[in-house]
Amino acid sequence: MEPLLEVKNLKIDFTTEYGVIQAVRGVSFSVYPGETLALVGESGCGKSVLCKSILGILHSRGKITGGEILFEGKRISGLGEKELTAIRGREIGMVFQNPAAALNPTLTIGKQLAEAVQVHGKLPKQECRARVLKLLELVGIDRPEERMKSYPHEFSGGMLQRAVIAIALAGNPKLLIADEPTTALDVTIQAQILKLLKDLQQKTGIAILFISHDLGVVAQVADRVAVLYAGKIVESGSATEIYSDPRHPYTWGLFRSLPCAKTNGALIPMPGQVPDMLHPPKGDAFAERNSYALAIDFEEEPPLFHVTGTHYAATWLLHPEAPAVKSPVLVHSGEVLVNE
Amino acid sequence: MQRKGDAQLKHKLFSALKKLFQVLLTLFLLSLAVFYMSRLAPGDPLRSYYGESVERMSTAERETAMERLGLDQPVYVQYGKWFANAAQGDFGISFKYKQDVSQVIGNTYFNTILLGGSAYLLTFLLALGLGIYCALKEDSLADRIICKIGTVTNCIPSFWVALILILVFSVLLKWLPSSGAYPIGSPNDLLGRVRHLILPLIVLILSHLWYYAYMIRNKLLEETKQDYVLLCRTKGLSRRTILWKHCVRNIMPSFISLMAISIPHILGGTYIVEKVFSYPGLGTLCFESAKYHDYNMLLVLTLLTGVIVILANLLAQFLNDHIDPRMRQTKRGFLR
Repeated sequence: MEPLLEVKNLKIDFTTEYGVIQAVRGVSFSVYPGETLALVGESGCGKSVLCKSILGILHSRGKITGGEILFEGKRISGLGEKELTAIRGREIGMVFQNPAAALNPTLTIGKQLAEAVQVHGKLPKQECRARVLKLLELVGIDRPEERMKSYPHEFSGGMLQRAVIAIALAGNPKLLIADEPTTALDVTIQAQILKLLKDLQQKTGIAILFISHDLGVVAQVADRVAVLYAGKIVESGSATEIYSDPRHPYTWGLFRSLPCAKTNGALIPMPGQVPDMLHPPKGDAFAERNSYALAIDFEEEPPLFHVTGTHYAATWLLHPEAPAVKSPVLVHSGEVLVNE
Repeated sequence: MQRKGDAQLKHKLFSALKKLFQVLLTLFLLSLAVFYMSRLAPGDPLRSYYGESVERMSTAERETAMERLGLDQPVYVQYGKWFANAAQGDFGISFKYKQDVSQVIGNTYFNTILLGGSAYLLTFLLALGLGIYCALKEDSLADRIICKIGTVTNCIPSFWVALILILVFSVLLKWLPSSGAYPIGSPNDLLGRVRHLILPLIVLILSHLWYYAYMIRNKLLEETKQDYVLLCRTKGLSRRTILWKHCVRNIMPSFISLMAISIPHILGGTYIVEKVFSYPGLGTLCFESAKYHDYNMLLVLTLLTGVIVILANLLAQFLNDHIDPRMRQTKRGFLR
């Protein structure tokens, strides 16, 4: 099957007063039609930058310095603002982290939704209204006729995120980029939104690029998972592979920092922080924080080692000559069972 | 449905009455304060009525004069009398001009509205245009040059600009008149009036423009960094559309409040400029009545200024309510 979105060796630099920050350092992945790919990583690892670059809405200081982004086989990185405007909304929609800030507070939900409906071709008023109502129904907003006249401040967080999803779907895109769509919501609402996304995918066959820092959330939606660290993909595989047999110490660390039901919710936070990408460290960027680090980790960056045909990780631990290390976590269907 | 409409109408009527009461109360307190304060200021009020001859008056003559003008009574009695008359529309006479205050003010009110009003409108139209332009071209050469020039003009005192303009355009080039509101003897000469307005207008606009343009520029830039702008872009809206349909609209409430708050600011500027250009307006009149202890005159002028400020604020609130849904007063607040 042809991939819908293909990111090839993408590099993004930010120019600041202090120097050049390498936010994304050679990331490659593909999203296939109808599937959900989750990009997982801590804050500051380049997730948001990556998905903003796909739609060409990077901050003016951020520049793509290498690699390319293909959508349905056509190169979309480096396109002009006009061509990108035609892709946004119609081909690729996006949902943001904080729904309370993502809508214009002075316009009704209906107006903002209608704007998204009208942007790629004018519709007569009645048709537009019908489409708005249908979209609101699709995302599970009750009494849409009444609700379309509400202002954002009259909506709850979960309702707002539903409205934002409706806006993202207005142009019938083939790909939805969801940048931490549940992070700002409380847990019960989180579950509702995740269910909504899954239902929508079943109904419309839309592909989802799901960004999150929370492997627990990702377990509920992802078909495939890519773990991002310091602007690079360090482990990637199908959800089953990642959740049953994680191989990278960073992935272990992410699992260990999840609350664990069996051990009375004790979680083990990862020490340290994402390295300063103004001066990227020599060798493996994760070596500093890695209790399993080998001497070579501080010298040379690990290549990608294949575990299976679809599962690979960038860690020297997978080298045939490396000492055998057992994963400190045991995970079963998204639940952390053992956490040593 | 009918009942709901009635309740709404009642609510509207009630809040209008409440507003009216607030306005009247404010004006009452203002008049009281000015009435007392003007009488506390040192100086001789008789001088404004009798001029130089005050110095040759005997004590007895002074007393008769004070009695005639009603200045011998305690201040609260004077205020009571003034209030009773004012309530019937009689605001007393000007000591200096020996005419009804309203008669003296007559045309000067119109002159000030003409100068201040056009300066006000032009300042804000230009500020909005300049602010939007600079925000669109943030950090470009044009933006940077405009910002630098703006800061400089904003720092130059208006009376100095006025003097330089008079020197260049009136004295050296002889293109424009340096004082008055119209050519002597022909107050209805439209072109003459416009010619007299040009220099004071330039001074007023130059001294206020950048302050507001810069505020609008920064407000707008702040607005374009909001998250909803990103969502608008991912919807597929163009930058221009987002700026006009979303950002400019969203800064309108602050813009309108700014306009309302700045009325006293620009009015104050008008008073100074009027004085420099000897423009027969409220400012010049106000200055003189304060200088000569023309009590009635000063009081009425202050009240007029107060009315303008209050009306401006009411207007701003009304407009705000209709632009920003978050500002609409809840039907029944928590505290009422």
